[in-house]
Amino acid sequence: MSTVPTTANLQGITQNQNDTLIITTTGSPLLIPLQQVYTSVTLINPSTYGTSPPSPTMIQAYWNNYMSAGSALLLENVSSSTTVQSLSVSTGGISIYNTAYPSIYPVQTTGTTITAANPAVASIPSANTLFSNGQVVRLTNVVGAPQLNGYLFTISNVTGTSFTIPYLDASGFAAGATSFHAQVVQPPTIVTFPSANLITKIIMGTSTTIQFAFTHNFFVGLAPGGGSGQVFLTIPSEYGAQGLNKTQYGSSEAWTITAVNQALPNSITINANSSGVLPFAFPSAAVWTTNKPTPPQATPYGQTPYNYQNASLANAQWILSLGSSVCGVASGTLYAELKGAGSILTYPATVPN
Amino acid sequence: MTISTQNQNYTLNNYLSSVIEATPTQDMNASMFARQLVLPERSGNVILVSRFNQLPPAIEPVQPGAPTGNVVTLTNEILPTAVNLYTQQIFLDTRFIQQAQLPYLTEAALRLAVSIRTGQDILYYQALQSNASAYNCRYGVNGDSPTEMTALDLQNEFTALKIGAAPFSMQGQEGSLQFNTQPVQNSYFALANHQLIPSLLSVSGFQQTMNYPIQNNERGPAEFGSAPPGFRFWTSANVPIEFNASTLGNVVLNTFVGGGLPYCGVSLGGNALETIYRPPEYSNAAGLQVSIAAKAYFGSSVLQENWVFNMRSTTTYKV
Repeated sequence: MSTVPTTANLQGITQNQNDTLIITTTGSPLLIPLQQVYTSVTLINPSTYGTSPPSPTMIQAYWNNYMSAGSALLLENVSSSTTVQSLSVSTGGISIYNTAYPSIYPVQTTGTTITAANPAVASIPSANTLFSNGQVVRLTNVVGAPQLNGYLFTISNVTGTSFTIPYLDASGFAAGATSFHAQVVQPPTIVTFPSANLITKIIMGTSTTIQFAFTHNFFVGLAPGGGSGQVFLTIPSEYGAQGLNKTQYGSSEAWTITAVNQALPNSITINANSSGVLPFAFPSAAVWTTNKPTPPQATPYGQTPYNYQNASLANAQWILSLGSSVCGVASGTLYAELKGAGSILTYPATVPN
Repeated sequence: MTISTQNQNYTLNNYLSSVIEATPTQDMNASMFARQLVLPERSGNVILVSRFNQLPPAIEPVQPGAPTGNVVTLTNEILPTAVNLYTQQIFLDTRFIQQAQLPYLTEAALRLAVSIRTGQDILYYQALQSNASAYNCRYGVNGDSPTEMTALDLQNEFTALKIGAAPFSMQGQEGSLQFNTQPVQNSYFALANHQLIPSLLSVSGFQQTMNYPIQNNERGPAEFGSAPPGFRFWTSANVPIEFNASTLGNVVLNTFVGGGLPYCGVSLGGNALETIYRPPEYSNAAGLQVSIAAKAYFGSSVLQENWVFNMRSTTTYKV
């Protein structure tokens, strides 16, 4: 799970408090760590007010804990109009769930296949309840495509029998996987902002685009609090692209990030003219099995404007989940009005769910 | 800084603060190789650290007609370190306070100190785990990925640190005419989990600290030994391990190797540590509950990414 780049620090807030959370969205479902439980959530999408997006876009969403998890009451605009329409969704909405007593040992799911396609799709046993969109899973015991061993991937399109690995183009693989284990990664493996990430694809050219395995949080230039967007690349020779491990003179140097998520989803573009660099490619299954190289990676270089433990998913007892219907667009902003516990009453009284 | 709810307890509060600051704690090694940041008063929640980026080497001869030669810009990289607040509070049994206040409070302060310092140690490692470049040991023979740590893996990472121009953290020790000792080379540090010990003992050339020519370990008793081509190992239970994370589903150990002071952290003490003692109110039946709390401000950042790596390995340790 990636750390959510909230600008609000929820550390230290107390129970029964009402809070406003300013959320920077990624365009993908979000899991946001909370320090207390809330009983209702109102999401406001400020960029939609007074505008008429060509397709219906969320203006407001509401959920309380009497509603089913993942549902929401939505207000959105009518296509290309400022007219507002309402709807109720049962999935892809909002929920707050308790992580109390999380598994101290990650639960492994045995999968059957991973396709050699773009994007790769993994098949898992039916009645899957462990995985959800936006989670990060680690693959181990991969048979048939051992190159995927040890990778952490963000997953999407989760169903009872499959999930998509959206940032893995496995079309160049000789074969897909015939069995594998998948487990949801428990932070703090990736709790800093930004954190190191694993590389799945590199497009060479006068500038270089690098795609990552799980949702990255690198940024361009100066960010709030200072720091510049630079990365240091470590690419084992089995993956090619050796010119990007820059060690011509003295110690290795970092590359400057010039764009994010531009040429490829979940990618950065760096100021490296890699026109003459040998292409990047996953090693063959035989080469990987013999050499067992470390997955290629990018590490943040001197850019830590936010730090770990800013209410991380690792330590939070309560998680706010924003599904695909309410997660906003990439680099957008949502305001979440969070209402503290104990303030929802019913008449006649019923036992809260 | 010490805060007390009642002035008459100022001295006691000061005493408890000093206990927390001075408590020796076992196997908390991460701060040894951290650049210590002193938290200024009213510093806010970010400490800015700066680093000048290196310049390219001057290898271009000055050409006729271009008397200024090469002109480059020196960049000052700002590295913000976010500081968060961590607390731990204990409620005490008033009956014991009445009978033997000082020993009971001292014991409570000792426990708080261990709690706060262990937390700080773990937070250091979390920052390193998330930001340091990872290397999967690959030269072992256990058939897993990463494999167990071997001498070849250590040679690999030693070379990587040299390429990164990382300075040694520890000076070597000359040989001496003592039976069963051998010299210790200039070394990088390695912060490992205790579970790495069986693997270390199998690494060719590894020697335990008892074989060092000089026995007083200048970096604390947690040092376990050294391995060629130049690593000295400190072990701790706080270094994170990852369950089910290897190719074969085994535990993966993280070992942070580095040179110099490649990361920073807020120094525990001064403005970064507060003790709050709430004494009993004997005149108030509802106020007999006593509490003692420690507040610590902490943050950590990697300062030089080429000087610290995360060597991941599987372990031969079995319960």
